[in-house]
Amino acid sequence: MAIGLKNFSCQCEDVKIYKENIVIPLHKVIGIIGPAKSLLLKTLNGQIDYSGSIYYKGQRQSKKDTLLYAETGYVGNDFQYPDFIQTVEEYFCYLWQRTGKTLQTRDKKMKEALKIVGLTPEYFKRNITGLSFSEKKLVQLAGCMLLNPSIILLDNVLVGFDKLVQKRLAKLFKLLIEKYHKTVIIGTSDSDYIYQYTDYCIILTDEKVSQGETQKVFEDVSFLIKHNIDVPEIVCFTYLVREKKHIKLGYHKDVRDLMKDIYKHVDLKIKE
Amino acid sequence: MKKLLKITNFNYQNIFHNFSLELQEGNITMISGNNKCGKTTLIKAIGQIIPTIDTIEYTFGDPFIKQENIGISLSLADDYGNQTVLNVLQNDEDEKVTIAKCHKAASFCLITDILENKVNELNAWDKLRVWLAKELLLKPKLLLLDDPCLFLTHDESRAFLQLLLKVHQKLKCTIVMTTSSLCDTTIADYLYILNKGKIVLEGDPVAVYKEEHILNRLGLKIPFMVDLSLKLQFYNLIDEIDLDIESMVDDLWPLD
Repeated sequence: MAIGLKNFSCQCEDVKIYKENIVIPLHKVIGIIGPAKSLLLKTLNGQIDYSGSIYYKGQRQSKKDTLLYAETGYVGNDFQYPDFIQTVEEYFCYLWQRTGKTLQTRDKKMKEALKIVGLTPEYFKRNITGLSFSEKKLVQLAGCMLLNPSIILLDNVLVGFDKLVQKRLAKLFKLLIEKYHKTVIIGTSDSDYIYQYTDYCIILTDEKVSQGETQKVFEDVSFLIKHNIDVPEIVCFTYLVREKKHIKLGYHKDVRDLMKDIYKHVDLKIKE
Repeated sequence: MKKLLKITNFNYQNIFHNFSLELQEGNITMISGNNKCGKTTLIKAIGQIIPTIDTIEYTFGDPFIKQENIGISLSLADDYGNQTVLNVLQNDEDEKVTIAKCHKAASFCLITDILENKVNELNAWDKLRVWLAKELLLKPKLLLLDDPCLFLTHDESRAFLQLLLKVHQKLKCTIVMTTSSLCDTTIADYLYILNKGKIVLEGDPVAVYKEEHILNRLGLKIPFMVDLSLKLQFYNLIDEIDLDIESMVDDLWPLD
């Protein structure tokens, strides 16, 4: 099961994707890096026009009112809400009203949405303008959860979260996939996050698209360097040892595993 | 070292209660902490963007009278409008800056190729460099930056920090910067770690990084090279913290 983009092109200002074939597997955490990441996420959400074909659930999608657009929830960098909305509660009620669902379950679902991102019901009475940067991001994410989309598109949303929040969200995304069969697509320039927490990765450069299992994609360090993609330092270290010293250290995600590997390969007699 | 400002018994909403801090002149001071620790509020207080009711004493005078004494970049609030970069650099409240000076500042900050571009169409990395060029022309005594690297890639962050160091050396000013990433703090002379409006760690960055357990509990990620260095030191594989990957690799495998 995947979203298939064939001969796919789209453009916004000077950023473009040109005649590419991209496969986005479903029910995984997907990372997207590169200058065109927002462009792709917005296109999947129907905000930007494209040429080529998009296939979803075995059907070619038409460019208007497609199933794909209906099943995606987009959380962007800007927190946009109408002027008349002041509190988090009003924002959630507004979102719920747009879904056209019955009021019976609204309050329960609103509380659940806040809880799932780690916020307490006290936040309902908070004024949105008074929230911190990271709180606003979490409220946006909770708003997306309230709408219950099958595919969650996160466009540069993880910026500014501390490690604890990042880890908590990574767990949440895993839970959403394993228990609720969602798909989470994360666009970010934080290659460390992508390397640590995603299963599948798409790198959108100006010339070429690289895609596949995250570990494999990041092991192609020369490609990342050539296309100005940040190489996670833990990958960079291994790459340098392999290139410069011809020692086959493994590519690790955890510094403790790297440490064990270094210990195995260092000549302790020389060190003494 | 001379004191630049002193905060005494600062109170603000539910975050700060009787908070005190001193900043030394000429230093690069960084303030880090987890989400909601109060770092943005603190830098707003230092920049007099929120009321501080006589709790901050500035040794260089009154920041309200001499606005040019403080250069503030609040990363989420910068807005230069629809002007070109050159216009932004040229226009000062009191006098017009000469084009030659603008070009010199632009060259220093590597933005000569975007002088005719509109500022509101620039990306975060270009905007930051424009801001730095503007500050070079204004020559403030105190530069305040609120999480400037938030929207930058790692490479851009590294380049920005090097540029900030160059500006610091040129202006001989005091810099106070908040950051949510400890990776940005390696250039600091002094580092404060905040948690719920209180200072939990302070000192030389390397000394602070060594408090790994406290930092982990707060959700702060130690820079990778520091983390690896500390672990290698524990097994006597290296002698001191090394922030450079190449030199560490050479140190570990000297004969290859």
